[in-house]
Amino acid sequence: MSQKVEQIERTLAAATARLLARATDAYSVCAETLVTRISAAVDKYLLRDSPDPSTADLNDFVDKLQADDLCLIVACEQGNEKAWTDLVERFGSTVRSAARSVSANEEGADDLAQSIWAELHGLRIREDGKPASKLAYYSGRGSLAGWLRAVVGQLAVDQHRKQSRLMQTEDDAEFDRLIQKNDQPWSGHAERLNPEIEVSDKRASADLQKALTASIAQLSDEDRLLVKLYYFDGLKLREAGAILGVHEATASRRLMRIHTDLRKQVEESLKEEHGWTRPETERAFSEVALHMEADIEPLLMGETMVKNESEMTS
Amino acid sequence: MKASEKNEIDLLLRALGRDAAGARASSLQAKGESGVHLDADELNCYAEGIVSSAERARYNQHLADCESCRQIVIDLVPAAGVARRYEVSDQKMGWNWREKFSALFAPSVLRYAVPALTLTAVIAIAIVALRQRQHTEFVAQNRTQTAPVVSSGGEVQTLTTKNGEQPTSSPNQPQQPLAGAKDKNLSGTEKVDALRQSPVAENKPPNTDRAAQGFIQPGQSAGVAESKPIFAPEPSPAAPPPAPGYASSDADNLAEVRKQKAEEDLQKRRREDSKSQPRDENEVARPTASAKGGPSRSNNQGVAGLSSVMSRTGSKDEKAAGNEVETRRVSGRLFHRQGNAWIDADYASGRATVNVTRGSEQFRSLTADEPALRSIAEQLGGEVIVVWKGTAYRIR
Repeated sequence: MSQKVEQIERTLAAATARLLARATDAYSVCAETLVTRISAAVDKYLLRDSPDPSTADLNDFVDKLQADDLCLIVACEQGNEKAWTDLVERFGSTVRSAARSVSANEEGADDLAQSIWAELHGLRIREDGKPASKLAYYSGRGSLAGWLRAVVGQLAVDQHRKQSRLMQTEDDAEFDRLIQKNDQPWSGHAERLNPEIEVSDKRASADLQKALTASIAQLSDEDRLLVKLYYFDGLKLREAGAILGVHEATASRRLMRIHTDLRKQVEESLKEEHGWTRPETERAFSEVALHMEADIEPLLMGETMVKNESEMTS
Repeated sequence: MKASEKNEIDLLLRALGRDAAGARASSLQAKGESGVHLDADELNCYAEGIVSSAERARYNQHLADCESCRQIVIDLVPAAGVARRYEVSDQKMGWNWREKFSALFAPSVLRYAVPALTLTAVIAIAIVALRQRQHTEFVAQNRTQTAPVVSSGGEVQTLTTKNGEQPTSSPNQPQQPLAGAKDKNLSGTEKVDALRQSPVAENKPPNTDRAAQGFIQPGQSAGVAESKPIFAPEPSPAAPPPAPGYASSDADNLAEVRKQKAEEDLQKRRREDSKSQPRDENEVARPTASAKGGPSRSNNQGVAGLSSVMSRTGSKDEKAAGNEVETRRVSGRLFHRQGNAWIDADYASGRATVNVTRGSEQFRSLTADEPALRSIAEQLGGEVIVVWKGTAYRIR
């Protein structure tokens, strides 16, 4: 075991030397400091899924690290002023742009960007007396610009959560009203005068909604993520496919298959739990879908109008 | 699964997503969603597509249930340019063979591919059938071309089994398919094209123009027609001579074709009139040869095929009005009777003529070079004005 560890350490030391050689400006970062950082990244990403990596895997992992970005961040973490100057100069616009995209206005974006730089410097002091900076979490695996955008995004979510908690306490009654509205089952038969039919249809819609939600939860992680991205987050197939790492056509085929799977699962669930027959299931599907079609049509038209407007402006 | 059923699921999912979005706006952000979130480095690696399959599966599980991390990834991916990278890599890598095969026979593909293939097949079959039919028509025409026979009198006659005429041929003169005979079944423009492509027309003798201008000396070569002077026999009323052969220049041939066409139209109209009215007693002869396909062409041996068609036109109305005009067609030339003279239709009044007297040496030398003129002079009695190869001859 110790031989294996020693072999990994030797491999990482050699790979770190190559990384330093690759860096355009190493900012006087020593190999020992860098090896520690790289070893942490290997533990986090490589050894978790493959505890016994080969030398080739190790070399491949280290050779794909962003040498310049990693040296810059390590130097900043060590308090290198030149590195900080370069970091702000090179990535100031990136941070500002990311903050602007998640903020409601310019002031919010400025505040967020300032918060990011403060987080990167480190507001708290660690046990070893050094500031607890977010820079310690950059592994060098991805680009530094992307990592900074992710940091901005996380900080924006944190700020939004804090604001939401404050707003929730103030507008509790309003939220309760919204939740109650969302808890209503799908039904487009409110205008019906027959209360028995209305109650029956509402119950059928509620059962259908419950069965569909349960069926979505039973999907595989990737299928469920595709459904969430496409239907819940409103992404296009091309965008959802890009997140999943597949082509738009592949995402489309997967979605068609998911439709089939969901339909089967919902029908089986309704049959087993509520004793629905197939004609009853089909009728419930068609009626609720008919109502949804009428209900969603204005939204789709709105999406089309927004799309057309954006195309015209571009 | 039917398309309507998929549409229903699609609509239901949209509604569910809309409700979830509304709920998320109100309360979900305040909840701790699914425990530990992905850190910025993991989110960035996922967005940039540099994670292993095991990592991707792990992150997918979290992202499917975590709204906030998913939202960060959604914001990161466009900036990372992963969409373009995946599109390019997908185009390069392609699918595995099973996905390709299933995609080839997917209902969405077959829905458009089958009608398109059917339409293409129908168009291809139609084109092939059309070409075969055209080819068959050409074969039929070629068979009729083999019919022309050179008679003993040097006249080219077209064998037509329809009218029952017995084909005659000269054993001394081999039968040759004539390019000009093609125009028997062709339209007017096709006839012109055929004449232009005719070997007879292309092999125009160099002295033809000189002969037409009256510069031909006795015994001098006059091209195709002068190689072997052949005298046409007297036309038989029972069997009218065939269509005239063409040994003249292209311009004359074209003019002849046009006149033939006009004559055919005239005959056609006359036949249509005769169907409704009693046949004219004064009709001397029917232009069977010309009416059934126009004149035949002379071969490249220089034998001037002669065909005379005589007709007397004039409807009952014209007779009643006293405007009867007698016309005759001899050797492919149309003549109008004016008094005792037969005047070529192409002759313009006042045009200078070369006077030739029958029986004179000049007449003999001229008819030796141009046997068709001899035939004209013999068939049309009295004074004849004929325009031949650009020169007007007054034969007395």
